[in-house]
Amino acid sequence: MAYQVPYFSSQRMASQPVKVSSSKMRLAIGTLCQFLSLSGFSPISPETLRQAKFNKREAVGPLLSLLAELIDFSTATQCAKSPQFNREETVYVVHSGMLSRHFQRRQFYLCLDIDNSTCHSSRELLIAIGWLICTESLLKQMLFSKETSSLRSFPDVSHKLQERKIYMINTREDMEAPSSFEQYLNGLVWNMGKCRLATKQWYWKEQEIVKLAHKIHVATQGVSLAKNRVCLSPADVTILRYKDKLEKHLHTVEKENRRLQMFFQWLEKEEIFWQWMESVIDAENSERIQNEDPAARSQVDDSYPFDDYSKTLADLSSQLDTTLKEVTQRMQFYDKSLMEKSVPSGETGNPLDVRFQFVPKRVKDHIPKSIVHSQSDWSPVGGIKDIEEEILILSKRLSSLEAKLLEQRDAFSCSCTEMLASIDGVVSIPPILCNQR
Amino acid sequence: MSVISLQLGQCGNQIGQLFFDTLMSDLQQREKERNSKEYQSRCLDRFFVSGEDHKLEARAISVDTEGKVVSNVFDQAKKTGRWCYPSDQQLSGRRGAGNNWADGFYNHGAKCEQEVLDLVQRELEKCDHFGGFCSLMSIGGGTGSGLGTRVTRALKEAYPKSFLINVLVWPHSAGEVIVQNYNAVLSMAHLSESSDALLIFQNDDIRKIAQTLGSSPKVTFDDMNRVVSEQLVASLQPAVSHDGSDNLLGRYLEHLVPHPDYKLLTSRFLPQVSEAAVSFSTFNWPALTKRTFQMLLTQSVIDEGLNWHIKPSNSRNKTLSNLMVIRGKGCQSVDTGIFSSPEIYPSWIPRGAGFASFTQSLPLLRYEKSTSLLSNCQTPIRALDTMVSKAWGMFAMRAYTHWYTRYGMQEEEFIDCFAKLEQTIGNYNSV
Repeated sequence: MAYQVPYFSSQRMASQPVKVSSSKMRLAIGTLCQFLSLSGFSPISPETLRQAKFNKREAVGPLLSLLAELIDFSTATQCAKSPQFNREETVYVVHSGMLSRHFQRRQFYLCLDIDNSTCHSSRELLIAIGWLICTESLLKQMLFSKETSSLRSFPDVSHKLQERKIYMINTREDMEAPSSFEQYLNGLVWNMGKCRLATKQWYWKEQEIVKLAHKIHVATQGVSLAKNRVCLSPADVTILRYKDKLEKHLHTVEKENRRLQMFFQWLEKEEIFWQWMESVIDAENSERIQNEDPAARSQVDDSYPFDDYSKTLADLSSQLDTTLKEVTQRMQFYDKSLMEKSVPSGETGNPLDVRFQFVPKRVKDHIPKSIVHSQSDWSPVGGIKDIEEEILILSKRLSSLEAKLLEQRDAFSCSCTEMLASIDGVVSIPPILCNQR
Repeated sequence: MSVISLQLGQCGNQIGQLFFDTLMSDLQQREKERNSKEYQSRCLDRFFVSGEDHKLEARAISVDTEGKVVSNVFDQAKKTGRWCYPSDQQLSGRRGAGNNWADGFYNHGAKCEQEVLDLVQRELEKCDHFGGFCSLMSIGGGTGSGLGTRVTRALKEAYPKSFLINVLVWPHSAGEVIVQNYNAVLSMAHLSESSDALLIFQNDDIRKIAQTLGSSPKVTFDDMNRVVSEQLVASLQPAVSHDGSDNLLGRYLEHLVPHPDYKLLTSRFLPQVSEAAVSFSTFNWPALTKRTFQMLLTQSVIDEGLNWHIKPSNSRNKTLSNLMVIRGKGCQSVDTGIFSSPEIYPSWIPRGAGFASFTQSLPLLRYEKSTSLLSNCQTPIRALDTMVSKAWGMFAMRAYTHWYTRYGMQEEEFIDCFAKLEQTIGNYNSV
């Protein structure tokens, strides 16, 4: 499994590993935690992520909740903090969510214990969170999503919608099973009537909003707090009119500002965070190695010449590059020489009048015909021959062979007939000749 | 939320005028209370609009076939000095409908339908948040029943997305007008199609309540109208639910009448104590809620002679929905659990969905604590059945049908109306 890491990772492969100070790493992790918290997700501390790196049990709970919320958010549900999942639902949401996103880390699914609604590895949860954030660009989505913004709506009525939704669900669940079709119909009509009258109320509320907004626009014509408007909006008027709402709004704007600042910080520190995530995977690998057979492990220790091997690999790759260049040059040289031989002196040579040159079978089909290798293995047997002459020769030989075959057949059939004449009751049937070519 | 009231006919206009007067009296009494400013502004915004000279004008349209009643009502409003009717929001004729539904519907209704719609449009343009229409009318006479039915139908066609509740006053069963049953049947049948909800006040019950509240045994129409207006004020004044949302008309209707076959509402208000006795009475919430619940179980709207042997399990009053408005100190802590008892609701109503409540900590009028219960239940069915039976008895003889057919009405229309009401009665009986 590999992250879609930015260029930083490939640069690291080519050059020496860049060491980052622990304070910068802490800052990067802290930025992520703050941004998630300001976006309305369950607050999570950098210490929790650090504990997860070392697979501590204490980090399982918060990371499991966070992962469930991130999955829920990325599934484009209505709010960043959807109805609180209980423990069982959280594990189920996490399992099914990551599976549907083709997260192919086997250890993650092995660690999730659906029966006991828990997870045995906080490190796996951390890796999953990192994968999800990276592959789905969740932080960018959060930045532009209305649901995670503190300024989403004014006033915010999403909680009322949620209450109404829960009320309707509970009402449906409380309905007794109808004992007759008539009762079932009555219940349905009753429900429909509720919806119909609720829709009417909504209609009149919308009318009220439009009327009041129009009144505000007319009354505040010429005064504006925004560049693209010529009047105040209802939200502006509410803020200006009520001091406590102004303070609340300022507080909200400051919070949103901090969130934006965190995001910009994250853009600068992102590479450091992914580097730290790779160290999490390294920690997991080294732990796995430590848990392997000690006899096998003893062969791999600090004295193992890894540097020598990497140098050898680098040398071999440069040698391969050089060899490839030489071969290409030689091919170009022989190509030129062939072209000179095939075009007679004084003639320009019509490029369309290319004669097919017979080349031995050893040469593969995909090698261009003009290439002739200089090494002895590749030289044609008996020199280059004209194909038309060869076809004539072969056809003559074929016809002579056919004539010989016919003579021999006749001779044999005669001898057979003479032999069988002396034996009574035996008939000689000549073989069927295939005269068609 | 602004509610536009349509006062149709003599009864509708008189009740309407008392309704607005009661509102203003209540607001005046609340002026001295703490935290009442917001409540007052919401109440005023709901039922009044600031007119010329910053005077409060009722969001109302007055319609009658006779000019005397409307001008009387307008004068009485002006006399209070606190509010008035908008001068251009009235429509009156010269000749009444003669207690004839067909005259009101086909004759007067056809003539003034468009004018009424123009008045409604004008009133609608003054509303920022339109909550719905509330029509006040009686169904025993000619104008309220016939013209009122026509206007209701026209409103529904012109504003199909609006909420429309009709407050109906049923005539005495003893009979004030010989053809009141015809008028009532025709009105009920048409209104059950065009209106969203029909809030029914029966004169027989209102009279008894008025007798309890009044100091003398003689009860006038004014006393009865006052009872109706107080109950309307108790139900329609601003209040909030447990989640903080307002008691908009739409919310009421969504809870009470979602099923289109069941639109009949009944109002029960406690305490029913005379003005003189109020100062000597103490009210506590458990007693009020318990008595209201017992009134519901016994199909009674009067807080007298309740049969306490009737329990939810043996109650003959099935309820589709209940909505309670609780006003007074400590209203948030009132225990209304008994109203969620599943035995009183049909099985196809989800558990707990049949009851809703709204509260307001400020008291209402002279009542330190009060409860107002709007129910969609079988209470009015018996009276409706009686009315239909009587009307059918007359129709079988074709008695007085010529009074209706001369205005272009066909006999088939009678039969259709009887069929619709039989269907309504059958629906409620099968709950």
